[in-house]
Amino acid sequence: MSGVTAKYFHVARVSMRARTAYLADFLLGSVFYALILYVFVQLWSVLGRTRGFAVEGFGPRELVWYLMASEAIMLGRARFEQETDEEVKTGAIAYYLNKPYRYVLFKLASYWGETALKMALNIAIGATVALLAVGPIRVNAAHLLAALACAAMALTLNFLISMALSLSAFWVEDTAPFFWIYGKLLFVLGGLFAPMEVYPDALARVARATPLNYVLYAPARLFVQFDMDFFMSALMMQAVWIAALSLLVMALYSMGVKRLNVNGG
Amino acid sequence: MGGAAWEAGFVWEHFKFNLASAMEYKWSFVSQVVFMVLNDFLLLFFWWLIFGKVQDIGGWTFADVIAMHAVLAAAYGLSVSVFGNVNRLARIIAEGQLDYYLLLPRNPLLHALVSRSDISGLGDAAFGLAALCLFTPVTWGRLALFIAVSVAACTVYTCFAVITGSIAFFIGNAQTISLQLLGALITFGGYPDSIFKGLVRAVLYSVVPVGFVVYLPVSLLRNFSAARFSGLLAFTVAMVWAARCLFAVGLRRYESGNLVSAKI
Repeated sequence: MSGVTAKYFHVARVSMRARTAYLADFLLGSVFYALILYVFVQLWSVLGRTRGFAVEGFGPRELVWYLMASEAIMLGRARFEQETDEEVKTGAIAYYLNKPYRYVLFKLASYWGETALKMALNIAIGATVALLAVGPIRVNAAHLLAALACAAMALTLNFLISMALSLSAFWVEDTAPFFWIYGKLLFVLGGLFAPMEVYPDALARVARATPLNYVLYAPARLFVQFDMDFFMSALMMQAVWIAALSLLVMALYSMGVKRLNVNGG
Repeated sequence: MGGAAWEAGFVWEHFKFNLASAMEYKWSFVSQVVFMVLNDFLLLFFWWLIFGKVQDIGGWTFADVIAMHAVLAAAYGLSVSVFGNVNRLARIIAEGQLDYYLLLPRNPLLHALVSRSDISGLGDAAFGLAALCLFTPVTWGRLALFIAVSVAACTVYTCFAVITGSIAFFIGNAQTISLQLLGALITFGGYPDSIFKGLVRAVLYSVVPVGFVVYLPVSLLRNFSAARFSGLLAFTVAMVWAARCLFAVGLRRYESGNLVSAKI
């Protein structure tokens, strides 16, 4: 491992250890995830018995496992945006400028340290709840690895979108409302609760044109219904969006730090 | 009665002051309210998808589900915008921040709750009213009933938050458990009660009173009954009594903190 990689790997490790310092608190944080899964097990089982409710390729069991995967990502994302917003607004970001690392990469490493831990816990809890509630689905090890690779790209994509929104704090007073809307757009266009197969065609086309469905829908669908063509196209689109958003984040950061004013010590 | 009017005036003055303070930051104020309304409307998207495929879910129509979200948002929004510290009470107690309120000649519980406003709650309340008027059949009578049940639901939510926050008097750091219980109330409150059965359903009308914050108010909006409305009011009064009593009992166990903080 090169010195540069080792440095950021160490940052990720510190972030992971910081999350486990208060273990009970960390574990209790997953109660909400289990609760959501429970509610949807009930909802999908009632809808499964309702006439007229059919989703191509998805029965109640697949819908529960789809939600297990999409919610694991949604709730597994480390939430760094408020911290970044504060650092920009208070000028604390200035203290990162003379450190031997790049601010955005430092944040990415820290994000991944926490996210990897939360994802592992969510997958364990989600799989247990789904297994107990609806039983297993058919999935082999190769497909599982492919879905995990897609999930890793999805979480990196989420980081870049969140970072771009956080850096807007250089220009606006409060970025929190952007994150409410981002969360809801993930819900609507990302396919948080239901796969695109439930959507009307026109809306599904709009959703597929955005990066949001590559954050949740693509990895969750691959987990439940693996398809090699879909996997390759999803991975390629994720790479394209990651490249485009990386450029945007770099541009926002370099423009933003030029506007930085720090008062006092 | 004079005491209640006096306290209502105190709450109103604090709310006006908090509102004026938030309006100093215009972008922040406008964006919090407007984006919260938008945020809440997007919540209805999932149900629009589902009701595009089915007529009802265990007897709940799309209009009922919209009424459910309207009541939940209005109750929560009113609570956090007027009693802005409602979700932070456990932390205030655990960190010894009650000291400030105990030194002043006002009801410390009420004072602690109203000394902050979460302005995004106004967006929730506005969404509740707008969603009801836009997507469900509305008359003046139904509108008045919506306001009445929302105020009752807001009171039940606030009292439940005080009860969960007061756990901190007894076990110390209760912020996580308090937030989990409040989160459970909000989560369950976003889905029709017809999907829950047995013990869970019983819990939703007792330990976590979602039934009185959402389901009973919605059933009144669907089909008004004086008996059920009286039941909601009686439960609301019982919750106010329970919250005040638990806080008062807990306060006797309160230990002052040594955290140095400035309140401006």
